[in-house]
Amino acid sequence: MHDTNLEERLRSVLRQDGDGLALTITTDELERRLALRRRARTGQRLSLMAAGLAVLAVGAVFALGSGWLRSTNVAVDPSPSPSVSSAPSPEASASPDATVTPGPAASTDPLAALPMIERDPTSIDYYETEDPGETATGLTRQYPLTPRYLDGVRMDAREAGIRVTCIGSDARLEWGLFPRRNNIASEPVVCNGTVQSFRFDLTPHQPMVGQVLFLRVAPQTAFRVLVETFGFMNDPVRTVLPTFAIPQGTVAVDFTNEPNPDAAAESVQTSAGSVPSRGQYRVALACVGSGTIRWDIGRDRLAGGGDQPCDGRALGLWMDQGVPPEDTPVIVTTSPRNHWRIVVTHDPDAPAFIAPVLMGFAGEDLEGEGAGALALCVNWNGSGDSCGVPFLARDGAREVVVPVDSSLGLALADGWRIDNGGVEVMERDAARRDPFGESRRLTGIEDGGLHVAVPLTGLEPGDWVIRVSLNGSKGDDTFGGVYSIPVVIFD
Amino acid sequence: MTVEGLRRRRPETLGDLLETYGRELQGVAYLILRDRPAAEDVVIETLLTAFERGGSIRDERALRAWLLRVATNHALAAKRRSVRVVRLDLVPDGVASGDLGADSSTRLALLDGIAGLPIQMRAAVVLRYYADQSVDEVAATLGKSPNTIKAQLQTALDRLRVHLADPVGASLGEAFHA
Repeated sequence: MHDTNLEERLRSVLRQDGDGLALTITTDELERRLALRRRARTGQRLSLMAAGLAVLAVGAVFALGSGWLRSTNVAVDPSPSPSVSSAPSPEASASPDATVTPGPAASTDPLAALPMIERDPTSIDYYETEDPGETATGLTRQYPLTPRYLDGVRMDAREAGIRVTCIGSDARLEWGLFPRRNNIASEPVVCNGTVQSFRFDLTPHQPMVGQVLFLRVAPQTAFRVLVETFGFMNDPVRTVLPTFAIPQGTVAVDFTNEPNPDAAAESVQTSAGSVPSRGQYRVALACVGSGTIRWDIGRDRLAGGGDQPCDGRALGLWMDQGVPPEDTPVIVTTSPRNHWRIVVTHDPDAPAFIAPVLMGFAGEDLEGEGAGALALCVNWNGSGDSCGVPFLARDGAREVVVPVDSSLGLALADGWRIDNGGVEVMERDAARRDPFGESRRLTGIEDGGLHVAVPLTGLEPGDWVIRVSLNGSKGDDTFGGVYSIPVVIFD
Repeated sequence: MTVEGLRRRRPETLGDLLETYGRELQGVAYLILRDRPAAEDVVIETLLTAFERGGSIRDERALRAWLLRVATNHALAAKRRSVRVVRLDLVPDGVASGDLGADSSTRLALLDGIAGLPIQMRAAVVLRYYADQSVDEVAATLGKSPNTIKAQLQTALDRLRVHLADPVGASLGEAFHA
């Protein structure tokens, strides 16, 4: 496909996808948020609470999406009995088996006209969404409902239930592997305002990875969907370390431990090797035994890390989140009785870019010896993704000591320019207790330069960590990174 | 007029901004983040920023460009705050291409390919091909040089072309299975 054709197709697809979303934000919501902002400025803490709630909400959504609520979900009921013993065939799949609630008469609010979907107390609610169906285009909309649903948490579910209610033109559920989506379901949904239930046997489709559930609806069809799973703990415990394919790229680490069934220690730390400085790594990990296994690239998750249960499943991850400055150890921590294997690969073509040091100075004059900070979470010329990083100064960052109500001068080493960014602050004690804790935004850097001054107005005397997230440039090269600088403010 | 309303800080300006620019800003944020709640949050933050700090803007065209810049920065910042380890799409054996119409299949493959671009590159693609900004405008929005943006867009097109040629193979190339 030539560039021109591809660009036209790209425009069409992006417009269809971007414009297809209903704008549900109201002026009332804007005014409420504005009032919260203003109250915060007058010293009240209401906006901080709102931000906290927002972060929790987004975090919860993301956690569902990335499967990080695994343990929470499992804790709900360790051994529920599947309420349906026989399941439809994969291809013929389920048919609507219940009409629960008739829909009320049409309303000006399409969602208000739809019945709420009552939850099955034996199920785990996994995904819920709704849409008022305001799409004005003449094209059929396809809602990818479950990248979240099948992204890890309920991969071992034996059954799933999907309940749908809609008003408008008829819809269709499609479910399967991309791009063929009907290997589990391709079911019509009658959009007459009733709740229709579908149950699916997922056993033939394990492991449930890479699966996508779509609801295909016509324009101006309002819908509400609830996805639930059942019988999720019925799989036998795996006892043999599974084989898995090696991730793409150059293998930097491929390590399998020798388990010691007689070991008494709760957990041991094993160095599995080291990875070179790259912007992206791929990690594959499997563990059988009990408890969890933790992996870190770099000590204290310098470059990244994670935990997963030792349940015999292989996990694949990619990390695209910055470049450690030197060869970095891969550390695995788990029970010595567990049997595990970790493979880490990297892209040899990815940049091994070392971000310039950020110098912090007391005041605007850049006088004296600056305190250098090293970057975390680096991307370079668009390669490498942004990420969340803790409020911890990297090794070597020295304190900047400044008087109260003064400013902090910032400059990048080696002639790099600070283009823009943002500055947050956290008390150092709080950062020690929880480096991912709630921070306070101090200011933005919008008009950058070779050096910028950040006013520290409003900070009490004490020990602080200033975190600077910035984009820098030199010539045609650009990078982004996050720096933490310890600052002491005195009266 | 929205610009005049911003200068005078008229309360009804928030509603005007929402009506005039809300959908486009939401589209930009959603296409960058692929997360509707986060995109809505970006729209709200952008409009509030405009209401509080947009009083010096003098014409509507500059206002749109400025809003797109603020929204993009908010979206990139939201991405920066998000978690840093992302699950691979593990693709088991036996994926057959298929029975979708060619148009739907291409569309899905394109969306999949766009979602796989690095975030900065994705932002450039969205601003260029969804918000219809020129290369120079995209460069100004993202605070980069036009040459960098040109290179990013060309790389993005090359990647998408490869992805379209073999979306399943491309996914398999990125993935591995248990």
